[in-house]
Amino acid sequence: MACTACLLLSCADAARYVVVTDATPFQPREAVEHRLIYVSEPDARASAGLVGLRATSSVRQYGGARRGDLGAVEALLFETVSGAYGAAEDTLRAREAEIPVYLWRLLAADLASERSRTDLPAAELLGLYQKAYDVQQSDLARTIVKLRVRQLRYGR
Amino acid sequence: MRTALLVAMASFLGGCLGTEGFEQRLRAQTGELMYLREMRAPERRPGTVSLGTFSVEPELPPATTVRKTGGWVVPLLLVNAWQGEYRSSLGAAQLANDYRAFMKESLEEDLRRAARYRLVDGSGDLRVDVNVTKIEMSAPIAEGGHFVFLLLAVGWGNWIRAGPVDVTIEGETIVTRAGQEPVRSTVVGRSRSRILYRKGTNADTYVADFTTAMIESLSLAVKGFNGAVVEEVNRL
Repeated sequence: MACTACLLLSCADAARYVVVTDATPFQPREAVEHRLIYVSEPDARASAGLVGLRATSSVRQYGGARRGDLGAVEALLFETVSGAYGAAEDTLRAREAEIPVYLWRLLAADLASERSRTDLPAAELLGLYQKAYDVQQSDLARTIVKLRVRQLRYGR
Repeated sequence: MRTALLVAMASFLGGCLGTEGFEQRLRAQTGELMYLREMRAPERRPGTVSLGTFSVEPELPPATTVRKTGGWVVPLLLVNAWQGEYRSSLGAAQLANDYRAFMKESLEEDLRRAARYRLVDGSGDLRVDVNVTKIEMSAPIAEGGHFVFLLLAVGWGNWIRAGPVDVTIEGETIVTRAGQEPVRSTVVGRSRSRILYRKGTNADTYVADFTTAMIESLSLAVKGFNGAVVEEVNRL
């Protein structure tokens, strides 16, 4: 039974972005396959259900089950993990004041890289990730930005 | 049966990339020298620093080259196996930016960001002169395969393994202050990558990624080298 579940999980469409916190365990290899988004524990509280979702079907399920207005952080995270990058960029701009700067800068760089995967010079994107790196407060968050630069380099 | 055997043999032999195959695939990829800056400025001190001469003596080959360094073949009737070992050298044509200009500009940026003294364009209280004397890269690739013929059954397989990439950059740093040379030292920047991880990528992508791995390693060695130069300045 467990094996069947594993097989089914491995067949599930992997989400490109996965939200993690200091308390979320993840394998180093996952950082190659996904783009991890670090959210601090207090900021993740409002969107706890989004943390650690690794399959697009789980993200869809979350969106279907979620009722009521989404806070700025939750809306931004949900739009990003569900691949609605245009909407995420709108949220990023419209609700900047409500989004913590460490998250804002990381997702500003990520969404810029999604928007223009071939247009923007890599050095320009690196500049955005550098700005994101400089405001991160936790080691995990800094590691994630470093991994993102590797992903940028390898075109992932 | 004969057709199956011929197809199997053709697939087996077609899987060998060889020197030219690797060279062609490695040259197909380009990338930028760049790195994330992790250094932060320690407490600033009064005074300024400027970058004087910056020279890079070593030259990268015009384009990436691959040479065979070893290998063996077991050409038996029923069991055939082979392995080839190669060494590649990153070429300037695979870099989207000029490596000499990058090394100079990135050092300026690192001094601006992490030196104890404020970087100025003209002449500063401290003057840093850098001469890069060595850029050494070891980037091995190995490939191998086997072909087994057991009358009614055939089996074959190929593999490629690239890495780790080792880069060493060495140079001399001279820091001058009021006509004196308080620092004259050899500075080294090193970088070592892991063996390139291969999952879900075909051989072409994997080999192309190895060019990226070489560019990444060179970038990180420059980062280490610049960090060492900044440390020399910060000792004063």
